[in-house]
Amino acid sequence: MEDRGEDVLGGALGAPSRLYFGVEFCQHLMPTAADVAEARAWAEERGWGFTMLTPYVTDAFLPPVDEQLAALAPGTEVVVEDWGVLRRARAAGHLPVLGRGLHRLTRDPRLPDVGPEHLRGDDPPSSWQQGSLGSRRFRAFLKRSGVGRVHLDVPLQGLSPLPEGVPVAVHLPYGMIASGRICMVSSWGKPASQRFVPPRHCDAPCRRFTVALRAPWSRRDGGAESVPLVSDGSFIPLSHVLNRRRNALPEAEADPAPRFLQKGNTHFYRLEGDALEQAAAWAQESPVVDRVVLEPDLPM
Amino acid sequence: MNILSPVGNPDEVAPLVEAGADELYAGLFPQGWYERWGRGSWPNRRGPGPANVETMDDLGRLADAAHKGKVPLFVAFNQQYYPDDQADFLLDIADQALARGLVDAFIVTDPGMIAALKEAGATVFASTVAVALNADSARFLSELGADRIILSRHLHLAEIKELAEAAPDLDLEVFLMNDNCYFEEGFCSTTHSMPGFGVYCMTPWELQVTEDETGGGITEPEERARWDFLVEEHREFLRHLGSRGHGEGKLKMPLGPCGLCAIPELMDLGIHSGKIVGREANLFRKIRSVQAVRYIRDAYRDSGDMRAAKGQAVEMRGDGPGCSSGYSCYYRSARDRSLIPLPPRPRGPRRPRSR
Repeated sequence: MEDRGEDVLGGALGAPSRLYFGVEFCQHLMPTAADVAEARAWAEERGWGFTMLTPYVTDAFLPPVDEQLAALAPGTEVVVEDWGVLRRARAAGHLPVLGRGLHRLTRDPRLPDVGPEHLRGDDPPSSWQQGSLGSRRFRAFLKRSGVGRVHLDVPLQGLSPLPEGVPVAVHLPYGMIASGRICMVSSWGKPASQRFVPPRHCDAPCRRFTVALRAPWSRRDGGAESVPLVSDGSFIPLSHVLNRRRNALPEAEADPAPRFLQKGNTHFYRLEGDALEQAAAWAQESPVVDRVVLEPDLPM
Repeated sequence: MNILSPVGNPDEVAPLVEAGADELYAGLFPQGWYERWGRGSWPNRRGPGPANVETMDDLGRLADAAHKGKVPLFVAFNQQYYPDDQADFLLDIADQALARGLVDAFIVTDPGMIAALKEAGATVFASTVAVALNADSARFLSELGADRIILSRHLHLAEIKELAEAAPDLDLEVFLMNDNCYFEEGFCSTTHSMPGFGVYCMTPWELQVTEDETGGGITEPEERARWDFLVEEHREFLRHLGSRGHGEGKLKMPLGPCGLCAIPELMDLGIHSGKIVGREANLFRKIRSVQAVRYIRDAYRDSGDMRAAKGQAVEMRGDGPGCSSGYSCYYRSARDRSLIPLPPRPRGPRRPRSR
């Protein structure tokens, strides 16, 4: 993990000192209590801190969450993506940390493609570079709820300076675009009655497969084969207009447009190159960001 | 179970109440919002136009009409978050509306906003965007001040049952008609407020599936066929998330996502309200949706015959292929296959079979 993390950010962030273990976005991928105990021991052997990641869950998955919480040392950081799990983590004597999903933020990967022509001359709203944490009322809510830390992503459009008062951890290089219980990947090989509904049970084909997504709005220079989507500077390929269903985009190998990634039930973007360096620099310069969570691979 | 209908303007109130609406909800896109925050930001989950009224006077007329019809009016302040300047702006409007008795409840996502509105003396419903998937989440939002919890669109009936039984004292609301989200709405960080870009989850993606172990494409022919089939079916599923025209039944019902045949089970669970989505929809769609829900609700209430009520739901919808596929269902497990008149869909490639 350390080696790949250093690859991602050129070693700029120093050696890892904490293990994040668990999953944020799918209840079917939760580790067992035994896995949690083993991971804890692994971290303790190295003198690392330990943070438990937990997903949003239905009632049937609250007991496994309880088992995980019971496998933790008192006062362990528990990242929550579910208000009910927050309630239980607090009751179990742990330190609730607000996950990046519950810290609402505009993470639409199309925002870098939005130009003045789309907004008819209006400035992009300031809310695109702020999230829940930008609200003093939300910060007061966090305090009342015993939340000691907030996790967030750095969106592709960047973030305004964060207010002081709540320590922040930033995930790099992957950011969550959207997540839900309807899971295309889980539907793989299933009969019609079980396709595209939240799975009650899952064989987790996402452990084997990753889906890359390519779309016409992720390009601004389509060349002669393109027609304007909205106005100059934003294009959709003509072939795509004529046939929206398949084989409409340029050859994948020759297409420099960014891909987005689907792992199981969640879409992610990946910060790369300059965007990653800028995000890391922003995090290092921010007085409230005191931790970077390096993701050596898609966090699912 | 109450029928909660969207409403877009005062003229819609009387026909919707006559059709059977027990509660109404609206949006407010206040004057001054555009001037301050431009076209890229909305005060609620719907954009300007027929989904929202714009002035306090319009809101007053809407409230007067609703209250004259003896139904409460709720207003959505349901964005995922509001920076301080936007929250201050909306809370000032909320104070005015409360002082004039215009709004009976606000539908809210942001926990800080829920607390602020409770302090202002408002009744507050936790939006589905707040995400309550289990009884503890619902309890948490209730302790925060929410007087009603609007559940996720994506809960199975069995999951709603578990939740309702674990929190019998909470007022719960569920989705019944017209629009679905692909993602859990509270965990979707994309925005609909980008002119010209459409809706993220409806993007006609080119999908490239790779095996993690090799980093390459799928080489095993049977697995490849399964993925090809799934991607085609997925496109078909996306088509069912929104409006698909009108049904073949007598009502010529608008065909969107639907929970009609689940109404009997939801009534048995003691669900307080069933929501019809679509503030921006035309009045015909709203009225037909209210009528359909009312018909099934009253039929089951009066007869107690669940199977008959489900049969009426299928007949009224007049969408045999849609009911058969289940892709338009909010609560797919509620379907009674013996009541669905058509055989499985004849379209599309066959699902590859295991060897």
